[in-house]
Amino acid sequence: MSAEKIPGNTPQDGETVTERNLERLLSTAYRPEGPSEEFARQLRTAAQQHAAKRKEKSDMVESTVNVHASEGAGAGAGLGRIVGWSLAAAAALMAIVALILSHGRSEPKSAYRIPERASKAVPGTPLEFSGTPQAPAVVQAPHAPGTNYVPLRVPLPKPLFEGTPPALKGFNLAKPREPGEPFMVPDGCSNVALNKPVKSSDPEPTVGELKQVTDGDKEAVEGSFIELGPALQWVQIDLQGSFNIYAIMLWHFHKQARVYHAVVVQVADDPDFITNVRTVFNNDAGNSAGLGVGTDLEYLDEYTGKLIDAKGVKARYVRCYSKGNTSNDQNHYTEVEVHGIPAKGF
Amino acid sequence: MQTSFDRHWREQALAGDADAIRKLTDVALQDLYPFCLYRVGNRRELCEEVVQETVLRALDRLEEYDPQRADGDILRWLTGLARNEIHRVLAREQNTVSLEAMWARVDGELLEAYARLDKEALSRDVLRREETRQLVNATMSQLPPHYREALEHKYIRGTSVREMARMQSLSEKATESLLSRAREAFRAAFLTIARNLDAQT
Repeated sequence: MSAEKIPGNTPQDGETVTERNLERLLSTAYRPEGPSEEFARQLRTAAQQHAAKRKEKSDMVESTVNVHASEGAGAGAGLGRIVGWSLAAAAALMAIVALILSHGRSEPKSAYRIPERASKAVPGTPLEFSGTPQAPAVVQAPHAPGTNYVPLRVPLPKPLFEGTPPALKGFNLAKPREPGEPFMVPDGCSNVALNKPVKSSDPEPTVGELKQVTDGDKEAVEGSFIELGPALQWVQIDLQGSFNIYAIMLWHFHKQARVYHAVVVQVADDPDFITNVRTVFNNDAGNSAGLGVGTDLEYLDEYTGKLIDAKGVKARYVRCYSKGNTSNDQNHYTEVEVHGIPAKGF
Repeated sequence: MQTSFDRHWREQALAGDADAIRKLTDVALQDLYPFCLYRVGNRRELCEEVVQETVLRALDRLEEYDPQRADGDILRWLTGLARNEIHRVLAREQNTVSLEAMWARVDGELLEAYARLDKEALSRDVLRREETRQLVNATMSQLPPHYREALEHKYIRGTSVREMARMQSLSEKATESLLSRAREAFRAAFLTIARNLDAQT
């Protein structure tokens, strides 16, 4: 280290300026920035589960090959042996193909387990949920006869919240839907809220702009969500026409494991919610919002969004209420989708 | 004491051994995390994404890790994987992560002060600046773990050379030598980063 020596007290005799500066930089300015304990815990759990799953798959392939190989050996010499080995090879190949196919699918996902890596999310696939049943899932309304129903296809955002959610004691959370169980909507149903005007009880959000609620961006990153003030707040979407609404999807803030309180969704024919107001979802069991006692269950906000069966209700305006969440008193909206078809006679 | 990620460890990890997996995540949290943090614009959420993806990818590709070639040091292999993840994340974020923007507040005067590291004592004001803290942290995150550990022992925890020598089963002379090399590595990295900032601003 080439440096001039400074006589006197600082730096001490024999110590170079460089050495003294380095010492001061390290002892004064250096503040190691490590990962949060929460992330550390999540990473450890995710890695352990991933390794276990990987081992399970590898054992499966191995046992398939072994079983069929031994069958092949027992078949004797000559043609029988060739057939046996061919079977073993085919079985192994099938197992590998099955693994590859299963790799591309979304794993059963639960609010109570670490999900698979984020990159496995397949946007645009039919909604699929699973989880540890804690309470009954929403049962879809019976289909109207003579109508062609198709699975609702909703492009999903990238999951960012991964890991075991904090203990949510006292919450009787709704379980997500079972895997492979699509939500059926009439053919021609689409997101009629996309880019439609939005107003709110808090016209100047602390974060973001109201139009972001219907801009189609559901990612759980900065710039994708809005933050409304504390206490009861609502956002309202003008569908600019009357629609038969079959599904409403909510994404509040799915970057962290949160439960939003007093979630109430109403539809109406007028912007002031005076005429023909109907409640399609209400989990405000304590009636803290003053909109009636809710019987729906609270839920964990996830990247898959909250699906509300609107049962074809006819309306022009949709209003979503909430009253803080398990992490803070604020209210957040990343996206609201309203899936419907134009009402007849409009 | 650093874990050796040797052939035995790899076999255990491939078998899904919980202890072996924990050792991998320990390295990821302790060494890989700081390495990635400053490469994704000091954004924790991106860093967490990169680290988690890297660990899962490493588990998927464990057969490719050659303990002999890596001399039991898995961090180099992990940082190689992490670079791809960082590249992917930065490409996705495009304009939202600007590494240059992170240093936008670094003014010329400060950079000049850094450049005079070998010539005059840094003022208290410079030492207390947030930019200095960031630069020191970024520099430390790029050092090999054994250098970083030695510097942290000496300057953060105040461990004596004698105690460090005992902990690492080295002679005091060898420990002094290690510290000297660590300081030189820090100095070189610090000045290089500061010079690059100077070129950008």
